[in-house]
Amino acid sequence: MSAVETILAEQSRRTQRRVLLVALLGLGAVLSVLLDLVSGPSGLPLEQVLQALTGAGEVPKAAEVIVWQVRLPVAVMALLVGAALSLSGAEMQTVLDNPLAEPFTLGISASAALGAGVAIVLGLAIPGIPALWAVSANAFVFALLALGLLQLASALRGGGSEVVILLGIAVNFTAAALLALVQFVASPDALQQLVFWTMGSLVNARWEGIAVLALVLALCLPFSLAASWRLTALRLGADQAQGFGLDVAHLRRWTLVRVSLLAAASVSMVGVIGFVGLAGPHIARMAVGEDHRFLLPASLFTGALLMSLASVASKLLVPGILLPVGIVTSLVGLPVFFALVLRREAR
Amino acid sequence: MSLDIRNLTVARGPRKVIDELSLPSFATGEFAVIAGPNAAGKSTLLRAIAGLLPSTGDVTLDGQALHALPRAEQAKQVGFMPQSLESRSALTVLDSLMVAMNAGGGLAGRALRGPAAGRHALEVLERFGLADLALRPMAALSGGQRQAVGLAQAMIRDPKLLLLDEPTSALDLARQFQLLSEARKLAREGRIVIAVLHDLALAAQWADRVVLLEGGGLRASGAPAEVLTPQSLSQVYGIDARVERCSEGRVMVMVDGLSQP
Repeated sequence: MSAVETILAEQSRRTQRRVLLVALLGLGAVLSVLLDLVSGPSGLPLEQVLQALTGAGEVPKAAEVIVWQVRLPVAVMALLVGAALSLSGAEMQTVLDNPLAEPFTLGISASAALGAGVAIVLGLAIPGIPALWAVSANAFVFALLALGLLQLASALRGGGSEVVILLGIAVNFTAAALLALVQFVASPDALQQLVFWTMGSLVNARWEGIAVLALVLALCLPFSLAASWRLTALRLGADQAQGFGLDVAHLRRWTLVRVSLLAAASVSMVGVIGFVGLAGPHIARMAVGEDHRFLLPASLFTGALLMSLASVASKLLVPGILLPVGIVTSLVGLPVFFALVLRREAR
Repeated sequence: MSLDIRNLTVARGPRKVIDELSLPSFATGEFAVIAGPNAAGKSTLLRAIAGLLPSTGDVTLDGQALHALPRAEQAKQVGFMPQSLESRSALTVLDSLMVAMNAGGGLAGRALRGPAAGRHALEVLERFGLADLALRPMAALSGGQRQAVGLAQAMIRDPKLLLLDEPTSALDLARQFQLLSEARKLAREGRIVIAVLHDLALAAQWADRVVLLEGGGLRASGAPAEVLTPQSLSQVYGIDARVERCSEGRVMVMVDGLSQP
């Protein structure tokens, strides 16, 4: 075999390995959702859960309610939120050329929390939105406002990524300060509600919210995947990418729009969830590398997997108590993440 | 085919880095070198031609207003090799070429997918003696290797106009020779190749034409022996220099001192 053939064979072997890893992560995500479905305080046997899901055989009414109205919405919401946050983190890290970029670090989560705080504490909501959705709608709008501000800054300053990041950090602190102010004037009751919201929780997952998030994800994902070559090109430097024929400013702008929608929709449904948007893409990158044709789906699945496992852990860590999932992602996830990073550095 | 540059202006804030610059036409087969002191606007000119910087004026390639074309279309006609590939990327050299091929919307009229694309990329790497590095991550390359990969990336779409920004700055003597003879060969194959070079000896040795810039404007343009004279070097660089022809008729530049305090 000639040198060229050897290299090509090695290249295709690597590609196959990446496809396999992406598939495994996808399988892992599916399995973790099943695990999420069978875990819970009511201790339903696996058989009953499956029967309730498929509608086959006689299932007690209680089991059906638990599966369809409690566990399934939580499990599906965890899956979608994890996928959306991780995908948006991956794209953000690439377009801003910064491994720390994610919805959380750029102040999007903090702004969403501020929006939620305004609704919960001050009772200010968008007219025409049903009371049930006031908090989510406010959070969504505030998150989008924060992102609009970042977009504006980047447009005014010619699309440089440093400006976006610095401004994101400023937005983060400003939103946090304003949220503290809102908390300061809040009644004890509203304060408790708000604190609970900022911890990030899946218990309020509803099918309508799931539908909204699924729709946003379904709208954004094809564009993300279609941009995968262009996003990979950014890893070789913005200048080089431009030389390859990319309109880098245009790519940055539209990627940030997608990322904004994904992040705002996720955070507004479940509250502040840190770590997944950061760790999901990093773990995916360790697995499949920087080629975004593989990295984006891998990030999507890794995020879904992490979030589902966090959901399971939130039910099992303290028996009988459902911990807010945002606490779990950070407490359990971060050590695992550190271990992965340190292991890689050691190699 | 010719490249024409008329009234090109590039502003950085209020300052005009290139001011109403017009150059004699570049013709197919020509290897031209842009020279000049620091801050003369050499790299800026090259990047403006490549469409990487906003500019006003006319840049016409083959009768076509280059900057009026969509970005992806420009990239098919123009290859740009940056001075240094800033890359902490874990992508391999081969991956980087696949990206260079596909990111701008693929190659015109060529359905290069899968193994065919890989084979094409490897051919280009082989041409520049880089096939051994194909599976090496970009971040693991030496400065010189990275610079050479930059040339392969610029050449992957087989552009008509090839722009090289200080292509020899990280190369040892053998590789400088290799790269510049390759650059001239690429021109002779039917392209226009323009390189920014600091080293006037290299410029004199390899270029068909030297474009000498000073303060964002044109000082002189022509064959190396016409442009590189003691007078022009003294005025542009502020040096006392001797320009001599060695036995093969090549121009040599020797700097004896600074002409201005």
